[in-house]
Amino acid sequence: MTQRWTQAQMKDVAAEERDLLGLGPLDPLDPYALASEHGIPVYPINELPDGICSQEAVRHFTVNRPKVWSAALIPAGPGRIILENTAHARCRRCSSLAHELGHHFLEHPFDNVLLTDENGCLFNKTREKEANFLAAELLVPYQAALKAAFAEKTNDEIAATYGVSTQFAQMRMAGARKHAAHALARQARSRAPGKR
Amino acid sequence: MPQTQINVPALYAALDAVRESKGISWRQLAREVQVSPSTFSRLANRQKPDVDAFLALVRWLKVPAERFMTDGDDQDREEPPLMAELAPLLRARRDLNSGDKKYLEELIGAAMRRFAGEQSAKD
Repeated sequence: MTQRWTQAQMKDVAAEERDLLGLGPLDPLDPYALASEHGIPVYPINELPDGICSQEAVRHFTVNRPKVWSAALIPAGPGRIILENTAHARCRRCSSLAHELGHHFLEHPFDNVLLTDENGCLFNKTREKEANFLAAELLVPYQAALKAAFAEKTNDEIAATYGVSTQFAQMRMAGARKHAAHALARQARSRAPGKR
Repeated sequence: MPQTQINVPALYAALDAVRESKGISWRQLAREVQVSPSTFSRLANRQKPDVDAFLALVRWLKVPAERFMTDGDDQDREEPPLMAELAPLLRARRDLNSGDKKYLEELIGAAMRRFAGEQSAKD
């Protein structure tokens, strides 16, 4: 079943998943623990058995072109596997893993094309945006982002608390900071002399 | 003496068929049956449900639990596929070149073989 998700629905999914791990809305989430809760194995590419995978393939993504690919959610019959690029820092791997889990939780369909098919489309804009939204909500729920914005936390502080990169924190905090700034400005206006 | 086990692939297939016919998602099904949404991910990866979840699922299916119980020797032996038949969902740049795709396909094939090996070892 393919469905378009609203942001409110995706927030519910994230809250449900965080609840599975016993987390409150302000707690950091370990996406590896969440994958394990779902019984989904996460294979780092440098831990694929020798003999069934060439070192050349591993080196291609860890040394030669580390930036082009982060992670993949692989259908194995009804089962799921996540493969991750170990060239990236832990915080980036966490957001990539949350993104792939996002695809799984939103039950995004797999396209019937081969990876190497030049004419096949591997990327679906809507699905990617939905997986990004859910990953952000899993790792730094909006409620937590808003609280951090009111507390004027820096991107580095948020990154350290939630195990994400500073770039991720900056992106995540943009909306929450705007929201907090408007709320504080409104509050200031209402307290200004001559206002009741 | 063979040990009685839950035939997880058969249970998953039965749930999927009824779910599809009702046009609901796995998450909606989890809410309807009142089991954790991770129950279905685990079943899909051939992990046995706990007793409470198993009983809730067969009750929802309205079939006797025995339908999904097998002797160890009688397990559904269908092996996980070794080749990807569908494209993976990737977090990658859109300008992957043919070399990137070739190596990625090799890594995915290796991951599937590792997965199949681990599944067989569990059976």
